[in-house]
Amino acid sequence: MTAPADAAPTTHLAARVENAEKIYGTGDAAVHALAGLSVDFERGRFTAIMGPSGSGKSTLLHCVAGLDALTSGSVYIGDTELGSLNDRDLTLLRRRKVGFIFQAFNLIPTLSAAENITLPLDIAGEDPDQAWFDQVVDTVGLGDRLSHRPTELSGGQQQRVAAARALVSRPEIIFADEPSGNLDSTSAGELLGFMEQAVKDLGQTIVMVTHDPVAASYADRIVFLADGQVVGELHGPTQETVLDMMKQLGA
Amino acid sequence: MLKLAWKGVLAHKLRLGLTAMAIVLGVAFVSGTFVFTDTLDRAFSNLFEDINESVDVYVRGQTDFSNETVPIPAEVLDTVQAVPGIGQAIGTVEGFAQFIDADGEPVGTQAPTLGFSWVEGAEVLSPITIREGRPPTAPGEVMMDAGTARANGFAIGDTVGVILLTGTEQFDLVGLAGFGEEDNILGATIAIFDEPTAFRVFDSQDEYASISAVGDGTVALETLVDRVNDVLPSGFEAVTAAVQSEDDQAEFGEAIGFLNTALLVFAGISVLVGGFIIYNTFSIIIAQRMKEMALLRAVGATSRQVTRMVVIEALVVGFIASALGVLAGVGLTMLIRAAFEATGVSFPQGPLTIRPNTVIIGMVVGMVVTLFSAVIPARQASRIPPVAAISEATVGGPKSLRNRAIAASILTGLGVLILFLGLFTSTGNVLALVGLGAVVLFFGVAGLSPLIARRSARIIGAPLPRMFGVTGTLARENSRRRPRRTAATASALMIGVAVVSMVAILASSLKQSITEQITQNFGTVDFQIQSSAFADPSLVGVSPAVSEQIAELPEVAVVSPMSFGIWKNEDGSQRQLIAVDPATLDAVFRSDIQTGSVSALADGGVLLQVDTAEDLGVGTGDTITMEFPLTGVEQVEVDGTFLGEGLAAYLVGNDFFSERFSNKLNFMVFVNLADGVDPTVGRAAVETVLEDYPNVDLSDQAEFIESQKAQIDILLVIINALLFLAILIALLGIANTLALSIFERKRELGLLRAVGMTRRQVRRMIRWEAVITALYGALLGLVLGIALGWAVVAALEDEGLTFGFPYQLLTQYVIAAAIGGVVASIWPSFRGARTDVLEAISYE
Repeated sequence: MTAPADAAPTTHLAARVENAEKIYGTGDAAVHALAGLSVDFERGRFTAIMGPSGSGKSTLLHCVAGLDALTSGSVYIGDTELGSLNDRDLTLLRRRKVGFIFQAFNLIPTLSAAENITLPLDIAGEDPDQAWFDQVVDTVGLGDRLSHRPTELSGGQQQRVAAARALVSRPEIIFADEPSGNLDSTSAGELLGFMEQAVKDLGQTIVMVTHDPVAASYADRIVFLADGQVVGELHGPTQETVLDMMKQLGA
Repeated sequence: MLKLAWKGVLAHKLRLGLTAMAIVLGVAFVSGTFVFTDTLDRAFSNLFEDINESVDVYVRGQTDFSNETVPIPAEVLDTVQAVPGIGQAIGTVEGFAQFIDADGEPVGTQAPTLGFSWVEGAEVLSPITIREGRPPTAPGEVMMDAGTARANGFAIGDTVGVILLTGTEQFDLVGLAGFGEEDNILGATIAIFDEPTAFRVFDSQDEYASISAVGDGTVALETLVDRVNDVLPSGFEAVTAAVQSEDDQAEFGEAIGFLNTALLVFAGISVLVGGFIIYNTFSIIIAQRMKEMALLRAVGATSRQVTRMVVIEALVVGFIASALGVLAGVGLTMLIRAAFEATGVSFPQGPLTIRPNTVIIGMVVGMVVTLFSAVIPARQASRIPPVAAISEATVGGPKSLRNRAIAASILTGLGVLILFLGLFTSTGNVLALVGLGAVVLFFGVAGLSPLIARRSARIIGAPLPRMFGVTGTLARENSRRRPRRTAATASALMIGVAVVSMVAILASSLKQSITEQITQNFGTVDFQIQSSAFADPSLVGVSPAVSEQIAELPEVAVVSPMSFGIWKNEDGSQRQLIAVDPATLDAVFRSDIQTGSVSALADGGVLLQVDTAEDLGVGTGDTITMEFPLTGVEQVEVDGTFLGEGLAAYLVGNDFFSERFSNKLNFMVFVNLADGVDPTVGRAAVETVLEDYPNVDLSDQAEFIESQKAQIDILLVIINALLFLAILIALLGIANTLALSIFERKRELGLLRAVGMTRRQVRRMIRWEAVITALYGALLGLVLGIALGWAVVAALEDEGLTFGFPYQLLTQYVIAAAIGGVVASIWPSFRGARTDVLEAISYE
């Protein structure tokens, strides 16, 4: 049920991590958030990262996304190695090649939904491809809410705006940190469905951190972390296989 | 509650610290003013006691005018000397004497230039003490104060030029003197001549300015003074040294009191601006601590207790800030004193006088302002519902905005009303009413400001999206999202800019009016001569010898000297008059006589300006009551009425003047060249005469207008310097508010950085938010300032003031405000750009 992990990849990698180590603090108080972790993220795939709290999943996400720096090891987005970039280059990378969906506080309150969606492009001073914009808005079902401010949108709608923003700039990879964590089950299902659709229909690559098995089951592949290392993988997961895996690892 | 409050202060040290700065600066200005004037007062009081202590009896002429000297005939000295019980008596002559330095420049241009006489035996009785060399004993000799000698490189044995009433003469420097313990006082120069010379050059033949005497020890002081009084002719009195010191001190105290009041007005403006900052900051901090406050309420604290906690926090901050402010004020005074000494104006030595009053006033002002400013935010804190601890529900709806608008409108109307009363009716003290009206108006407009803040910010920030894309859009939107906050922050700058603009308009109007008056009424004048010093006309001026010498030039047709004097009317208030030469007045000044004649002034009498005559209800032939320094109260006949503006409302003849005033210097001299004389040739001739008088300036009409305008500009610079602190506090407020907002918007900033906004773009966004706020405040202040300036000018139209609009200056002020906004944003923008992205996006 799991494809061999070392099979030659048929698609190019959107991002990869090699021997990543992230240590907070020094000496006896040192915390190894990532302990020599290596993982690949294939293009056009929906990958979920699961693990208990303290497993390093958020740290991994931040480091791969260029928001934090590794203590040792390397991170690649496409062919670009992040360790060699200064703050400005990292910022530009985030602008063009990376998309984000956070658990909350995704939107700028003073901008409308449409303006929030085109934010990264506006920062770059570029105009969005109008046809693509329309398609994305259609995919997430926000056509009639474009001129509203975030305070006028429900939680689910806000997250969908965030998803649209992540999609519109056509990044190499989208990172989502518990995107459905604050939503009720209906909205969560809608959002995750859109994300899955984006991967299948639009060829987007998404990496999602979650602790929720239901959310994880939308992914093509789940990577399980514990104590800063990869401890398991699951391809083509369903809710049951996820729960089984979690039990297995928890034992 | 007390403990909570104290913990609260400690927890928010940085935020409250910035707030406290505003109070520190304001209180520093207030306490600095008091320390400065108190120190001067005490120092001079010591000085006066010191110089008067060796004298037992002073004889002086009686006059109601504190800085005038009534001449004492020389015979009186003999009379006094003859009184049994008197040991030694000497008379002192005083007058004008100005040194010329080695470069031919006049010495002592900003301070009085005094001259005294010296006789044998004066060492005991004179306030002058000998530092080096010897006193003058023959004509052609002079003694100089040591401070002036040192500052200008004079040494005993040098030949020094001295400008006198009678002309410029050369003297041998034979000695250096001091005044009491001091080598120099406040930059005033002292020249000492022997008595015969003094009589001559001070135009004071056989007349003394004062007589001082010591007893021979046989008679009690009281009795001695009585005996001397018995033999004095009427109009003169004898007093003890103690009384003389008191009177000297009182006279000085008057001048100091005026300075004190003027400085306190500016300090008050700074404190007012500081109050706005405090109010704004406390509002923001409370909004940010909403969860904390709500928690307190949730666990059982009453509204009143929460209010009290905030009030105590405010008092603690106010207390610490005021204490620091008082200390800063003392430091400020030391700085000011050092600055003056560096420019050669020496102050009497001595420690700074810090009276308990100063400390108390400083503390009270600081704490009261902090308290008042924190009251409304404290009430806001108490209204936070306990449920806000758990949910993110927003507090404070649009309903409160309506009430606020009504209250603010009432205040605005009230302010306008008070201003109107002060300016256009004659109820009460004009200055006080104008000040009160302006303050109320400021509060009113500040209250209405939030209503227009959103729209205004949109208009002001309109070009930003086009210039900077989404960074610009965000900057504009951020300045609009909390109109109350933007308005409150901008209000502080509004006040500063309003006052500065109003002053600029007044100055410009003055310049305009003067130019018009000079062009209209002095149109026929070729040249004008006046002292180059910018000082009290009773202390500096043109020696009469100048007019006499110029009159002898063949190129000159008319010389018209004028003098300036201050007299008192029936209720004791001071008025100005100008003395003119009746024969030549009409050649230089377009008096536009309506009734009576100018020539009548030659026999005494006064000319009144038409409006003044109307106000007094008198016409040609009537008399008015006038009090003069030397002759006291008189009935003076009105010789005529005139229209011409530019001199004074009261004109008298020069002869009439010299009998009633002790000032022998001319205020201005007007010169007309003879027909057919080439102006350049004529000018050269006059300038040759003036070579001996480097203390005066010659101007043709254009230069005359320029020099008058320059004097106003100097005043403008001084006023602006004093207002600078208020502007600084206002900009500090902008920086403060911005920093607090950054703290609030941490998440947003993190998000922006996460999706790819560079640090530079973040800084730009914050910077332009600051610029919009600053421009909003400046433009609002400009409108207010123009309105106020226009109102004041309109009120003074009767006095001849016409409206002048300083386009360039006001534009510069607005640009400066924008730059100020940029500077204020520097620190907050760097902090905002350095927001830790991870920390900001992490969700707990």
